[in-house]
Amino acid sequence: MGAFARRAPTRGDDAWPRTRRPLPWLFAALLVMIFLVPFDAMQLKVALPVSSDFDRFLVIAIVAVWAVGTALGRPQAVERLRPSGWAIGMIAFLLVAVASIAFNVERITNLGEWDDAQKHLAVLFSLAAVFAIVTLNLRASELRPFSVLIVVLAVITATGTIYEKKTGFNVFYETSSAVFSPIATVAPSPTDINPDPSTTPRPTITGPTRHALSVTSILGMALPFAVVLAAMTPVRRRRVLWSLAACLIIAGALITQRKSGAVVPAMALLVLFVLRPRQLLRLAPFGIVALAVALVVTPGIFSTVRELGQTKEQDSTEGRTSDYPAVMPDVLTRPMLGSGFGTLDSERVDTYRIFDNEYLGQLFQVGAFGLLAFIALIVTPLFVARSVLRSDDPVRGPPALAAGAACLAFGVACALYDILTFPQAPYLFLFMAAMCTCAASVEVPAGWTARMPPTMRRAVPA
Amino acid sequence: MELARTLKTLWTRRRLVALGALIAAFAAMLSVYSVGLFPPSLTSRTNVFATASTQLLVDAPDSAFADLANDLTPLETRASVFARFLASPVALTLVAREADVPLTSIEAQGPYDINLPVIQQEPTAGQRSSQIIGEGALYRLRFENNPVLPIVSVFAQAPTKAEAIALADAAPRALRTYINRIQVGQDTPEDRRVVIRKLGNATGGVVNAGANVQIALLVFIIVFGAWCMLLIPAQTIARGWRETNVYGDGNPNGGPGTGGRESDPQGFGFPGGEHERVR
Repeated sequence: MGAFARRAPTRGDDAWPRTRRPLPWLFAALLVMIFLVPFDAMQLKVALPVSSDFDRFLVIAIVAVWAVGTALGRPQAVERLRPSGWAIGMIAFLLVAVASIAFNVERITNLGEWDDAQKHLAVLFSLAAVFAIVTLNLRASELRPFSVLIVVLAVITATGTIYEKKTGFNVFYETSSAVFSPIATVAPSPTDINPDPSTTPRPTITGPTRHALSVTSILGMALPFAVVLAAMTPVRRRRVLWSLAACLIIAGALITQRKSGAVVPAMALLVLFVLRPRQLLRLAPFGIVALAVALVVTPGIFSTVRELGQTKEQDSTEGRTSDYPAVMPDVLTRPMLGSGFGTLDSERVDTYRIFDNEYLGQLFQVGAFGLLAFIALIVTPLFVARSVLRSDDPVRGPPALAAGAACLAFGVACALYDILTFPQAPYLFLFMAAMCTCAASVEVPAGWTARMPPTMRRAVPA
Repeated sequence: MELARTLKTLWTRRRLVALGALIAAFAAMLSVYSVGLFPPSLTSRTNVFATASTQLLVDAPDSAFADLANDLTPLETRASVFARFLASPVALTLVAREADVPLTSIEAQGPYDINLPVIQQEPTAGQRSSQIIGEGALYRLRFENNPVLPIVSVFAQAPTKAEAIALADAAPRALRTYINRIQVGQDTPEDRRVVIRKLGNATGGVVNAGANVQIALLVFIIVFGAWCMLLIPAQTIARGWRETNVYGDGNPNGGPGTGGRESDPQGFGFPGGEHERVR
């Protein structure tokens, strides 16, 4: 272990939550917003030039605090070197997104789609800003506390979602409506636990999001953190508790009665088992016990799983498969840069399809180049963190493993629905991508890089 | 620290930064203008357009709305048929003549059944192919009809406000002309004739003025930002290329003869062995 490359966290690290630095607290607020607040159903009562969505204000606050901190901050004793190419996926995707608009400008303006493109670009820039600032400011010693926070928030989300299924009461929407009523309006909850079977085949259980698939995605992405915390802790009592948390998260994802609720967590677990089979197999007995407890806590989970295979689900599958031939005219007309980023307005159902596959949606909007950039965006965190994914360093290894599995779970969820339409999962993915980069970063005493020869400035973890 | 160092690096390469600004400005111009060389010209690529809308009522000679004894159902059915007819080539020929615009420049869509499930409203490959062909049309018409109302809504798009209003107003006139021709040809009795009433003159305005500037600005920022970001690693690589002699051409982890601390004239002073891990 290098003298400067891998430092264990100490009290003097000024790491969240024992810090007065405002940025980590804003990162925590971001996570709380993702897991507990239906922010995409909220409009603040203050007008912004592009949109008054709740998340934009938090992003603006993060950017402002970072800018002020950068301008006024004191020189730090430690310098963090990130692996080269950590932002390449995001930069490539941003470039292709703008290029797709520039190349299609005649079509976009003629069809009156510039406003839609503008809004989607604003979201993309928000996501990029969050990703960059979290990556630049997150410290390795903060990875574990943030992992714990993610699991705690996911458990609350799962519990609330299970409660929603049982009672029809969406605690996230109702609480947000009450808490934020002076400053924001919250749309009514889409919850419907007893729908008319002739029109709606499944209950609508959304948790803090606008769509069931969105809540299953964030729970599926949080699951690896609970499993990794359970696998890595040496204390048996904690292992049981983390295993229980994992089961509760799985139950919360399954209760939505969506196939994605089973697929995304399953893929996340599979990735963990592939990367660290021995550590994960140790959890098997705890998993069985915790599963039994979870079944007691959430009776009816088996019927939920059985309902996933019912006939009405086949309509959903047919809808997905019919997307492929329907997208061909657009793909063949504009194969390289697509129709323009953000022009796929799913509310114009007579013109555009709702693609139940984000990759297909990106192929439509930003073409083959954009699809490649989008895949690069998903894969880059795993690539930069590849050297720490199997590391035994307790500070970096487990969080990197969990965040890497979560990034892959996001990649799987992308194949199941139009994930960028709902902001929770993209925000969470980019936070986890930032965690991967942070785990793979190297800390050196400040000023050392200036004395290094350029050929040695790339930080490659041992 | 990092931001300050980045800005300092860019300042030392200010000529290249200025070159990047020029390239970004050129890219921004290309994004919204088509450049012609012979003769030199700039043609805007963004279409500033206007929209206008109106409504037409399918009625009876003695207005059905003023007489409670009249059943509206036959009129609702006809409104639905007329809305579909208006998007047909026959109707568009009449609309083009009334509005005095080329028939080939008009694209018409609708009506769409909003009561169907989404999956049935979504366009198939064939429908989408037709839509793609019509995407370049400068004059666009869209017809909407609520099945329980004898009303057809007309939405028109054209390069100017006057043309958009003229196009919207042309649709009811074209329909009236066509129906009258059939009624005269069939010798339909006066009291049984369908009457097309326009519910007021079309109103409209310019929609996307300013898109040009926004798109150009966006392209400038992105291209200039990407150029500046590329300058940093490019400078590092260039300097690294120049300084390879510090280590020789061999493996820096090799023995004294192939590079390493012994051949490090600047004395970077890394802790023993640490630098060997940096590839």
